[in-house]
Amino acid sequence: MNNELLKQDYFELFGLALDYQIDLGGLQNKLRALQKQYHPDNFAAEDTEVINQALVISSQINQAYTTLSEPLARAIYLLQLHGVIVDLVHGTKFSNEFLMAQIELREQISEAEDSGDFDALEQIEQNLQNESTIITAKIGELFIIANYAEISELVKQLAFYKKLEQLVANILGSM
Amino acid sequence: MALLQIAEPDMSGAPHQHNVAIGIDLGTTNSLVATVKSGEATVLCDSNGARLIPSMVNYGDDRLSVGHEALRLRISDPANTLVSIKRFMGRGFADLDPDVVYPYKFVAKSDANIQINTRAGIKNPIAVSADILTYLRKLAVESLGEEPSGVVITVPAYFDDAQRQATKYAGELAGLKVLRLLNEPTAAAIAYGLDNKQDGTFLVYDLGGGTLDVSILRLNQGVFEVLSVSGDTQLGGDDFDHRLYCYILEKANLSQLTDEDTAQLLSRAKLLKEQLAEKEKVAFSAVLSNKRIVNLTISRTEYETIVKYLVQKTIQPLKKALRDAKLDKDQLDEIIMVGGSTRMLAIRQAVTEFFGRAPLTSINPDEVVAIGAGIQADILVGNKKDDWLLLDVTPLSLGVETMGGLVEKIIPRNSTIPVVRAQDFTTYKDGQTAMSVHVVQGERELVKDCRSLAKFTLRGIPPMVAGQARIRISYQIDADGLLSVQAKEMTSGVVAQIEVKPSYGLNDEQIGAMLQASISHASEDIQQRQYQEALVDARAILDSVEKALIADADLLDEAELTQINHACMKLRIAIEQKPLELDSAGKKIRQLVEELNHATDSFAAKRMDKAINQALTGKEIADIDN
Repeated sequence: MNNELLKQDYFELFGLALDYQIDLGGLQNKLRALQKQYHPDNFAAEDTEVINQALVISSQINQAYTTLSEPLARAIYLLQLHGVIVDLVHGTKFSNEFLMAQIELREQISEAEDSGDFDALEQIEQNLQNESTIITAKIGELFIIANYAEISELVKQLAFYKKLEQLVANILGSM
Repeated sequence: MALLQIAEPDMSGAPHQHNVAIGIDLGTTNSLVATVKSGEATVLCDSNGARLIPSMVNYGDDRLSVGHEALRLRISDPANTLVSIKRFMGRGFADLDPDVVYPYKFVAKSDANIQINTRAGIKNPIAVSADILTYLRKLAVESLGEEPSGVVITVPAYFDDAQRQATKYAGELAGLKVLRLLNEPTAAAIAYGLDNKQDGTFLVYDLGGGTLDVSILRLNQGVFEVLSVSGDTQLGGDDFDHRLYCYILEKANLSQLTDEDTAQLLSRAKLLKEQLAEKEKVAFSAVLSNKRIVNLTISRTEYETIVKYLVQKTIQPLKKALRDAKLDKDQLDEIIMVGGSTRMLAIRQAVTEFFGRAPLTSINPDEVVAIGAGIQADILVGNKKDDWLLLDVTPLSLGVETMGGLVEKIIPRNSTIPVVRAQDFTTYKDGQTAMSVHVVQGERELVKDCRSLAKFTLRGIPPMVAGQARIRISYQIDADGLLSVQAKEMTSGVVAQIEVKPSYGLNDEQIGAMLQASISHASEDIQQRQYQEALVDARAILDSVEKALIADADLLDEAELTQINHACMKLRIAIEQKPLELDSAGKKIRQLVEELNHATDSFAAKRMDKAINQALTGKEIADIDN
């Protein structure tokens, strides 16, 4: 089996240029083509060693797909390939404006949760997704001009919105 | 076997290579085996022609009964007849629903995994499932004439790691090569996908005896992708039976029943439920052990009222599955109904109402999962290449315990598998050399609300200032959805590494006892194989003698002919008899094969002469010399 695959970065693995803009349909097609070749089920009748090797490669392909298909993970990964490590936990300085907006959003969410307002939560979810789309578009533009410092800041903001989106999805899922 | 060689030269060729694989639907209530024969998936029958085998085992004094035989013993011997054992797979004593009354003698132990005291000793759910699987394996061998080279066993999509490990282990204990654990709804979609062969998005609603599974799948360019799974592991047809049973008790004013009466009324309630799918009103009567007669009439409307909350409970997971797949109801191409419980009209109506359209029901809902598993098994042993590939997802999030009893999620639910994820952790005390790792599965934030899968201690971390060590924990989920965990200290170059397979709630002693049991099964397996081989040889020689007799009986005198016919008859009787004891039956057949061989020795010589004479006729001496 082709162990060289494990040494490639995710963009190479999927035959893509180092570009933030991605054609999701093409990415999915490539995923299917790669898994048809390397998924352990193709080797079910073979030795454990071969199956384990397929397991490692197939997991890597899935990991690559997940990273490339999600705007936040893709941005962090691409920055890393350009030598920029984003620390989401430490050293984050947000503007007061951004922080106030975050607090307000959290209040809205817990209010809607407490009153069991499904529609309000869905509206909040929609707003969050819109916000994410706007930031993602900005990140795309900044990658073209290689402004990695600015991208790092936007990535941290995007991480905030994604976390809230997840929170709302969990609440909606359990209602 | 001189006779074989000259009579049938074309029979000496190697048997053609076709690997027989089977799919097993190991259900809560019933189990089925399916295989692909000449390109078509079929459900195999037992010797009585039954396709649905009750997933029940009766442990008698010196006899193990499985399937229909166990079903018959259920009423007279409920304490030793284990039913719906799937509900206990990978579960602890603490998981038992306190509201459900079981007729079993549970072994209440502090380590809390479920064990049941039977007349044949203490049994755990894995051993019981292995007994069911062994029965199904034998059924397949009898029907196919050979050992299957591999098996696909289906599990509810919502099964967690402990339940999956338990199922796979049961398969191995039964002497099966488990190629794959397949999610039941996925199997159903495969069965339907093969029919339609068209791309699309499907929702599978699978209400079985014990569980509800909802999956959304997309078939696209030969790849089946599972987009989301949802469900309820503690909700199924049994709950409807139980509700009806309680209603009967209430209506007839019954209390303090004996175990036998409980078993009787429960199985009557099940029957009543099935009848109500056909009729508007059903009369019910039963005689209890104290001779009291219960007479009742129950209408469908009455029934639908009492189970309404259960029906509604099955709708919730549909919404969750749609949300997780990020789809709207109208983006689905088809709704597929699976599981015997979907015969209930109330269920069909509720699903139709929810989606605003009627679901697909063309394949028998009891058989569709087994058929899908059989098809997938056939692909996995390599009989069919390039057909399609299955990309499944993990149903539950996997995480690790962090400070304060919180869960840090490492693999979120609905991640495509196989998958490997790593997360780095650090020490919180100066000079800390060990770290305990607690692996949990579930969606909740607190460890105590999730299922604990494994706990282990990583030792040998070099002493460092707090926060300096970097411990990488990686989770690997394979294509079966089974987890293994690895922890490594990264910074110092000193590698402390440990690999853990979750132990699905069994201790070493129990695992040892089960291995012991599987070894004794193994000797039985060898006998089974030898018996099967003797059968194959016997059929082959009978066949060739018959053909030789048709061609050349005139070469024999009457005494010789009688002797051969007699030997044939004895062998035929021996192979048609059901063996009481495999070892001696196999030896007996071997001996009779030898006798027949011996009886045909002179016949073979005469045919050889004839063949040579025919070959020589009309040929020059010179040709013969060559």
